[in-house]
Amino acid sequence: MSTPQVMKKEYNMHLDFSLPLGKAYTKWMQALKEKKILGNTCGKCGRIFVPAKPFCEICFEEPLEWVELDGRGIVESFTVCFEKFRNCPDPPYVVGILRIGDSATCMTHFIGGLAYQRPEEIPGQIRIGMAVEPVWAEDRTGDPLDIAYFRPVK
Amino acid sequence: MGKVGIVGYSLTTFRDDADMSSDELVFVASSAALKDAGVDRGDLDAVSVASIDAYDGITISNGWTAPAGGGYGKDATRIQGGGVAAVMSAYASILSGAAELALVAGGDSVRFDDTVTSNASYDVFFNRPIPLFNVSSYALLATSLLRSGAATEDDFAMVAAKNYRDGAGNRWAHVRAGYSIGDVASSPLTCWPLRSLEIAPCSKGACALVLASERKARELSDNPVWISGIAGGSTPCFGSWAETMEMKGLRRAITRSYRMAGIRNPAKDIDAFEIFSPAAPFELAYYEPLGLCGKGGAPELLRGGVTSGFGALPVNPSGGALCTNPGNCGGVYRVVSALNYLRDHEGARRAVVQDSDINLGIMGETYHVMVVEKERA
Amino acid sequence: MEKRAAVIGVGYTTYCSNRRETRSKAELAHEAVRNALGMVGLSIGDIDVSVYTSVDGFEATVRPARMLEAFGQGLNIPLVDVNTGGSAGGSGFKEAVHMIEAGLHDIVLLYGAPTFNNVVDNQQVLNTASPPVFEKPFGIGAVHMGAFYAARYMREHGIDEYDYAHVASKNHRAAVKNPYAHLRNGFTPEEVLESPMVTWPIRLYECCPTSSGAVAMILASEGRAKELCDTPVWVRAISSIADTFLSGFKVYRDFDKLKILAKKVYEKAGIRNPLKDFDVAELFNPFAPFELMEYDALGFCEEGKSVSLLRDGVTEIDGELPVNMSGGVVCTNSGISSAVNRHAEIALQLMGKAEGRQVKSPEVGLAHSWGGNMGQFHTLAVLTL
Repeated sequence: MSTPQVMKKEYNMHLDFSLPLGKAYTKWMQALKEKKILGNTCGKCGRIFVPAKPFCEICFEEPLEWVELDGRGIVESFTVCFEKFRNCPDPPYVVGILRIGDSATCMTHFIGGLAYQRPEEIPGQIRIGMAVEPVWAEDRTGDPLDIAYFRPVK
Repeated sequence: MGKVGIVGYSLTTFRDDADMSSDELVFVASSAALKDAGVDRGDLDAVSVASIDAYDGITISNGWTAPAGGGYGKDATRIQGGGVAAVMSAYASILSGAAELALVAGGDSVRFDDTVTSNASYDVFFNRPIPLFNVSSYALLATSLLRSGAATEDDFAMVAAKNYRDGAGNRWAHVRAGYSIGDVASSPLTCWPLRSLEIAPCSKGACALVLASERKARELSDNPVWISGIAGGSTPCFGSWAETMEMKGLRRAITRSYRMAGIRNPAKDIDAFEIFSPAAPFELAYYEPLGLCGKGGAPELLRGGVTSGFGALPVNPSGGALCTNPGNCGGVYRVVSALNYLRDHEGARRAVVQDSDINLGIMGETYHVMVVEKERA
Repeated sequence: MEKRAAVIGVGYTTYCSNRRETRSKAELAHEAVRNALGMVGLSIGDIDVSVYTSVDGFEATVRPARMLEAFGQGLNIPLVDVNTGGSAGGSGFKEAVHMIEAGLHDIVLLYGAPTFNNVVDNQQVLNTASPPVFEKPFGIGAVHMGAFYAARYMREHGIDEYDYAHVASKNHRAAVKNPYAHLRNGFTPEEVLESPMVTWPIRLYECCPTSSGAVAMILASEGRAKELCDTPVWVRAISSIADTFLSGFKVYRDFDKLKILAKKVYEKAGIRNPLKDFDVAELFNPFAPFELMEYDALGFCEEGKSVSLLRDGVTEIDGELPVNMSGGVVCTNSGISSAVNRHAEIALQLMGKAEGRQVKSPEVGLAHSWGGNMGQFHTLAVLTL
């Protein structure tokens, strides 16, 4: 079946934004510069949040207390990316859903420092519930990537 | 048909820049609105967010703001055509029996370039490459009004100054400089014939409303404010210029919402109008469709001071969009402004809120009009 | 006060790869809407309000509906624009139902846009859905979000790679019979297992394609529905549920919010035993493993036992509860059209108009949609004759 001759128009949409992070996120990001992982706590239900939250979705209150955690966490889920996507790191790379300390919420971050010969071995290296710890980047700017990645605790 | 009441609301002051993220802002307004209503998040059945992705800088941005409106674990939706369209969603949700209490919220925190954003809302083939964008589309309409003799450039400056004067007295407004006609008329030309002070700013802030079923509204308030009429209408983007100027979509929304509310003589039946006029000429163009005067009667109404905040037929007593223009929550802000008017003016009982998505420009636009009325003045 | 709402018409265009698409957005909209109106013998002027569903960012246009004229704007019919991510089709369907039940409107047009039909690099677009600060820096796009669920569920319940390939294959085989499906390759489980691993544990043939094509539906109030249609499909219940924005409380081992939503919707619809009470279901499965997780959450089986339903053929065309006889989203993914498609498919099944894929005399159907960052939103609808 032949395709009818139709013109095509190439276009893109480029929008620039500047996003105020607000109080809670700003404080959490700034602590990363000092190699500190903080959490904030809901005064009503006592849940700790890493990353920090501007409000507890359940109790609908601003968490006013802050705690410092040692940064260790566990893996709740993960994936190993094998394909190259635009604007994404070169494969293979591992992204995990990590629960830091007693946080009620999880955060996403890279899992690194794994030993393998072939990339296919990587999924077998990671267990649900595996303990991980942060590896800090040399240059830190107040960004989640101030942590370069999390590695399995030996 | 059953009734839906507005039982609580809140807003933040509007400014140039936000120091809170969008979710923080929406949380602040929403939790205050819930308190104002005397309910808490646990009582909510549904949340309706008014926003568009391009104003939040995130794809599927309601993901960010729905929990901030109390929507975690609840039936939450997001309507993109303006705040009154989002109110209509909550309204229908209640009347259908799906919800007894619903919250409508919107917030603006992110900085963006509304020229680029509005240009990106036009079609790729004809209008985007020109480039057409919101202000240049407003200017096209302004030119038509001038050249047809419907209004003069002085009228544009006058209606702008009226809004600025009224906005100066509104503690929530963004622009409170109270610019005079002289200030407006001497402000730089942006897109002829529009001058910079005849064009709305981009404001940051948030607001929220709590809607309730009739039963719940009567429990929570001894003088509830009812939504007595609500309707919409659209205009095609590739219609004739005459169609664009005739604004049949606006007229449909007005006619049907007035009919629902039993409004027969708007000049007598309505105490105040909060309308979306992102450039001065729109307000003038809307007087006649709103039923405030006959065809061609708008300048006279304006020059006679009838539509000023202290006039007999106040239009935009809040100062309108020229003073406060948040992209996401503008429609909700207009509802809140109308509610504030009814609360603050003894004897005032009914207000009309007119909203649309023309912050993105005209052509292909959708209007929504709502009538609110207190049970007793 | 509450009026019943029914689906009375469905209109499809054919579906193809978005890369091979030659129809414009306007042409697709016009065709789908015309086909839906044609099924019930209505004209565009009979519509009271139109509901458009899509995700702007994926269309590289802010508010794409404004520049389309297929929804009656020429007659000043109001346009309502719903964007709740992938679940927008379900949210839009809910808007339509509520407006009718509220007594606001009698005839509503619902449109599921071909969100991806202009996109050059699909993954680039899908990757924009990730929250900019906390998640996008980690190279997470739609497929990675799916993988977190598939990985945890697999490890939690000892599910085999083969089972994931099997459920993908079930959809692929069903799509061969659906003239409106995009991918009609009929892959076997072995062929699925041989396809490249995209992001562990999801393989290419377990992932949805990027399709182009559109769907429109007509809903009506009770009186008009009975006048206009021999087999109106009644909406007995519909609702949605929202999770947190970021990863939040999720551990990805199940669709816990869908379970909560199902309880609410089943109660409203009088469903006590979903496996027995439903005759047909369309569940949102852009990644084939989701279908298994959805069996659990929707109460078709005990938690973690979804694989036995699959292996026993319970969800095949001649099984007790055929699921995704359309081929599901894993065979046809035209953006937000996919979410509306689930409702359209159930309506067509109940009307006896599901060409090539018709289940025997279904009377009660379930339509599900899912979307948002990390699957933040679910919608669920029960439709009946």
